[in-house]
Amino acid sequence: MVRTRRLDAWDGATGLAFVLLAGLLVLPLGKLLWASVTAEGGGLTWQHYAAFLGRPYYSRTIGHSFVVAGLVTVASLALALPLAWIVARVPIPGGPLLRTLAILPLVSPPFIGAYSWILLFGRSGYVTAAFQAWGVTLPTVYGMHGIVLALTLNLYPLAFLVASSGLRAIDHSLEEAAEGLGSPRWRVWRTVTVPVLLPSVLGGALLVFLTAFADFGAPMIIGEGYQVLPTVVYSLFVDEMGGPPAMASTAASLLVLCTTALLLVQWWLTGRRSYAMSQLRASPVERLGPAARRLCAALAYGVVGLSLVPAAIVAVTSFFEARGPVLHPRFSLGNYREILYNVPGALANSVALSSMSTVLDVLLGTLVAYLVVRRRSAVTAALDSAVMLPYAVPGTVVGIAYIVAFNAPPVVLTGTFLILVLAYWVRRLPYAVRSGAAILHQLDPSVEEASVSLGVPPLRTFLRVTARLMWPGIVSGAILTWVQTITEISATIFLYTAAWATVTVVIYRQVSSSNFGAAAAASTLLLVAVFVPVFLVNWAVTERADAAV
Amino acid sequence: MRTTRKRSGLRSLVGALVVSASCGAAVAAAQSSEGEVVVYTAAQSTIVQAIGPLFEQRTGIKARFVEAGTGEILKRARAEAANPLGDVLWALGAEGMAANADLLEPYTVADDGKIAAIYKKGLAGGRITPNNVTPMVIVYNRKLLSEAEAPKAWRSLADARWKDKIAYAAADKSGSSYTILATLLTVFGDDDTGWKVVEDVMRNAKILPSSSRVPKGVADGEYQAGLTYEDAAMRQVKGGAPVGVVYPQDGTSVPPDGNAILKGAKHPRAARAFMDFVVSKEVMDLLAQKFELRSARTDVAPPAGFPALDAIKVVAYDMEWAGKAYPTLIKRWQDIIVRVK
Repeated sequence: MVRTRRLDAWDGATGLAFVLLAGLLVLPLGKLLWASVTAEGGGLTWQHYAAFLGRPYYSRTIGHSFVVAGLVTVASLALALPLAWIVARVPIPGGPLLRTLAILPLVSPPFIGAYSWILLFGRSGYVTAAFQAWGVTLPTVYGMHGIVLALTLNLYPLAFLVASSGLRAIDHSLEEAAEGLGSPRWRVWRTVTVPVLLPSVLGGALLVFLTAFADFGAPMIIGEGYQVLPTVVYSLFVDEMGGPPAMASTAASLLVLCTTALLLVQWWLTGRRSYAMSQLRASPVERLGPAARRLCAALAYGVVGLSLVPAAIVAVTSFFEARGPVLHPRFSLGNYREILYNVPGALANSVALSSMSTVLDVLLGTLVAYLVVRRRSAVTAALDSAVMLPYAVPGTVVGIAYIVAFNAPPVVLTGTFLILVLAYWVRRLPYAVRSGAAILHQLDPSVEEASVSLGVPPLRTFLRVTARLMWPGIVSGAILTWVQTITEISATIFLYTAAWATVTVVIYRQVSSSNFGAAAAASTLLLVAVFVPVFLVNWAVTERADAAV
Repeated sequence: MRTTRKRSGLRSLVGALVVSASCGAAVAAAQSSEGEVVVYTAAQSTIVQAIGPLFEQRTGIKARFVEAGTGEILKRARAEAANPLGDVLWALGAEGMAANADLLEPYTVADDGKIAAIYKKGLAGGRITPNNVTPMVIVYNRKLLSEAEAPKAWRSLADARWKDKIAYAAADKSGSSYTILATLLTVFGDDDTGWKVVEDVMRNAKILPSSSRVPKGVADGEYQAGLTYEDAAMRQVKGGAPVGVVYPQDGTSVPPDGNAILKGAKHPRAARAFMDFVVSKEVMDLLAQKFELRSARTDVAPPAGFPALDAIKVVAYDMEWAGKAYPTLIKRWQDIIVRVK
């Protein structure tokens, strides 16, 4: 039956998605990864893996990575879920503002964000010193728990965004029905709300886990010798002395293998449960007393405020007087004067590049999400994993692979801005796909089926019906993609040209040159440049929703 | 128009981009006269800002800069080798350059006679021109340690008194940190005695992921002392941070940062002009006076407050050995880290 159906537009879309991924991901990366199973004289071998796993210096980082990513995921969910519920259901002052502020932690470049925690909680940090004056010695912020702290407050917005678009898309009549049938509130939660939300929660958790698993910024800054797999991959790839090339490929392949395994588990988990709703009825606000409302507001602002500490510190220090690498706490605009000559242009580059790739991501990501959720088959399952691969591949590896693949005929893209757009497109595609898929899991296919059976072609049905119902997920996916693209550095540093330097390149170079004042000023401008458009989008979305009710 | 053929299948999605890419390629082709030079550099951003306009002023050639760390630039240059997009490497760690000598084009700068001969050894048979040089030093926090308490020699850092008090950047992540490792082995011997000192120092040290973190961490009081290089430490001093700099009594190395032309450079004449310009007396005086860099030239005074080189005990550091021994030394260093951390 399924096998005998005629090919439709979706098969074309599946094919297109595969061709894109093959050209932009598998071919460029295949060559690098192939090196991990090739012996020096040719022929297949496992010797590089044996060598890697046989050296504790390397092998112990795998366990470290799982511990860090696992703890970060649990902690992020603990912060994100209550926050998402409060923002979606409780009328607290400044909703859109809060939603926008909650995204900002994603924007502060990790190599400067994590540093703020050292400034506060390091051995000579302000907070540490204050407690010392009271005779209390705080535990050190360095090492594994420091990484977990920095990453959690950096990444919980991923889970928050996906969960809140899920909450906004819940058909409230389900909850009402349950309540109408006499279920107490807690049971409605347990038996209706939570199961329906589960795909969104798992989707968000997966994003957090994988991002934490692949992050090397925070471990580099706050790990103080606690190495994780990505830091090893980075140092092997960017070894000045040329290091062992097979070892670098092997480490990168292991990273990819670990994440692919996780993806398969997740795919299997969400595939077995399916709750869908046929209609969108905006969830009403919770009827809470003023005290409970105030508590909720305090909680929400507390979580968001805590996570904004690094950004706030960056903003404050940007106004300090810098003498070389040393910042003196005296008000000065010197840092801004210093960066005036190149940051405005770099900021414009960043906005242009990330906007282009975000449009592409949303187009392809929404299509792929639809295929993966609605057209479940072995083929789309493969597509699902393939699409998440870029997540697992460190930006460093993508950058180098892209130069090798696109620097000689038949396709020459190096030296143009296009190679950056394509690299961003591929690297950030998972955000658009996951957000789209999370919301689709909640939508009942019967609406589309009705449309198709009325004779509307599948693609038009998708555009007219499904895409509209998916809107909250698409918007949150677009915001995520854009925000995560504009802060990209690890592939950019290999692919940018003098004319297309991004603001993250400027920040990264100022940090490496120990010009912390200039770096802070540039980061602050980046934060503002992200905050304004995201706030406007959030505000517009809320207005629309309110107008609809 | 090669770019459009392969991606014709994607036209519906990226059509607009293909058009703009073709435009970009046309613009790039129009600019590929020798009126410009593409410089890959690990120099500080502030130096790049100062030298770029000066070069254009003096030569009429526009310098376009791609800034990144030494490792990133060398990786990039290697990946681009089939179709090089950069012309010149400027101020990269010379050991890393020497390890990638096959990417470099031989060139002797106009002022070659003014560059001290000791810095030219082990530089890929003259492919690399020394730019600035920097001794490896110990930096300490003056609030946490008095001058008398500060470590005076590499060997004193092996004392258990420094347990968890000193900072060292990972030797497999930072070029200058590898130089420090190789320097310790030059001072104490690449044998069990020398490695015992290394192991004791590593047991005491906090291992940081990048070289810039060491002087900063010491200045901020996160660590009492650290192993780093001269100009990074001196910038903290000049910036007003409470740090002191010690030139180890048991001897140190003074390796250069280097410049070179990339093989297959698209603007070879402009590249040679840039190579001559950046080691000219004018530029080197500027770097010494404004940016705290010690020149490899014999006729440029060290920056104010820097001791003359004959006041420092310098060991015979073999760059060629350091380059060749890299995989072996790094492996042994990593094994030590596993043992002591």
